[in-house]
Amino acid sequence: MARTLTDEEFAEFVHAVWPALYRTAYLMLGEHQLAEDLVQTSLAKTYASWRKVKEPAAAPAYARVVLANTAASWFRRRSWRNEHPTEVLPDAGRDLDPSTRPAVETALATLAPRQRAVVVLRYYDDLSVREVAHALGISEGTVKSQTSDALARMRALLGDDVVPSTEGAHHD
Amino acid sequence: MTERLSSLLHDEATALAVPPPAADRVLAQGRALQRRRRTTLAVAFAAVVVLVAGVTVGAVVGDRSDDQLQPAGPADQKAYVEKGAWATGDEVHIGNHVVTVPHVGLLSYTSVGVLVWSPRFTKKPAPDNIRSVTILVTPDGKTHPIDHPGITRLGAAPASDPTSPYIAYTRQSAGSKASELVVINLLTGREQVVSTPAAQRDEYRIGQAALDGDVVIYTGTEDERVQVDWRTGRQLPLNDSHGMIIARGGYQQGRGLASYMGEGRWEVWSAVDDELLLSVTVRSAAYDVGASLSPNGKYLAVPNGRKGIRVYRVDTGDFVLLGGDRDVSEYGWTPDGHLVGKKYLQQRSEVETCDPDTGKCTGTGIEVTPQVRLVQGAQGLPV
Repeated sequence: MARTLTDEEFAEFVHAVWPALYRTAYLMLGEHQLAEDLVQTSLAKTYASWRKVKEPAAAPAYARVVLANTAASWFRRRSWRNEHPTEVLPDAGRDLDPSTRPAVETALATLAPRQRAVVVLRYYDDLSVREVAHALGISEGTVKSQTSDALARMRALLGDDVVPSTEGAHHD
Repeated sequence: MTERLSSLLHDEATALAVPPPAADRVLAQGRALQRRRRTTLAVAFAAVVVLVAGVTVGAVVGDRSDDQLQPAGPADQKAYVEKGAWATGDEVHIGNHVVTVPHVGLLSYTSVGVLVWSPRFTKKPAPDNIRSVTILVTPDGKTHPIDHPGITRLGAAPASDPTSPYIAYTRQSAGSKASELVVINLLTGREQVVSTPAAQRDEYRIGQAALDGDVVIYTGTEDERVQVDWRTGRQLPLNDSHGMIIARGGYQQGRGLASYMGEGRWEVWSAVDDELLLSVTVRSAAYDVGASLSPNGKYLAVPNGRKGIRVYRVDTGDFVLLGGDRDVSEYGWTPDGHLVGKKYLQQRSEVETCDPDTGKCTGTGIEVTPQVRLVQGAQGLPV
């Protein structure tokens, strides 16, 4: 167990991990205010359960798991599903340059919330299937199937150059 | 391979304008969570201790009869009791009024208005640097800073009771390392000091008290819970043996405690006379966060999975179901026991109040973002 932190030390920890967590949160949610809320809530939870952190070096990873877990709980709410429809693909005729960031952002926006989280955790945070499953509170099989579905959808928008068709659930 | 996708995601992330860390808000929110969890542990395992010796009622000081608070008019008082108070940003909504209070941290009810506690730091966020501000917002929309010795050093809001004009907190005695419990009448500014034998070793923990009429429950020097009648100074027995207690009378009020007994069963006990008031079993989902006891102790809100929230009357056991996408943790209470919260949880939407007896919810017409601060009563935590 990590020793108890002073509030000053935890504030320093917040400053250290905030940018990385915010980037993950934004990629997951696609909205600045929600991303900020998610990071703030997750770090508050991390503060409250600091005794679960086995050693200080593990704290950033722990905070990231808390963030993913908190996001997953948001996704389960009915209002989230109602207010963040993701079942409609963008106009197929829309001219997207798959090599650009806007194209990636657009493609992420077409994914269901949990699929989007899976993609971000695996391909941005570089977590394994097992780690993603743990972070989101779902089975490894679900992570694999969600990854496969998400990549298929993104491939339709971004093309094989960005998301090769051989990719699926093999990013361990 | 997906290196290209990873690379684009990193480009996207790198290009983001990252807002500055909200370390003070994180700490305030984290401390509130931690305080509830510490309370849980302390209550679950502390022995019942009866200590009468050494507790004396101290002098009454701070009588400011020339500066008495004028009670709000009936219409404002009625609106306050029925609509309660909540905040978004620096706006505090109370009854029919909106006032500006910078850096809103926590809200809690008294009978004469809502207390707004705001953490401030003189330098970096750290216990020694805290200089909190506690302001009473009365139902007529006026603000009244609470200025008493030691109150700026509170790491949490002082204890309050929605039916009482008193607040309570512990502070370091002048010229000594011992602590003292102080109770203040907000109407008169009159202050009553209750001396205790407890040494205040960690000043930052002060404020962890609950007030229920004449009874104050606070944390002793060994993290034990102490219950005292502040009018007489007499220490009272406190039974902490009701299963795994995951919530009690809130960290700012002391009306009852809610215990999670496992397998979906909840019990509400009177914190003062140790009587079982309610026992219910509700099928909850794994992600539900626990129950919430209203600040007046009359209602218990329990999550019911995707069905919504069940709101029980503690005295009869009757309940209504607030259906739809409602999360207990996202709802607060009004002083009279109505629920108040956002209609839809995450995005900008309307604040609504819900009648705990009929289940009818009424929109206020006021839209807010997710950042709305509520008086959340005694909220449960995951086991």
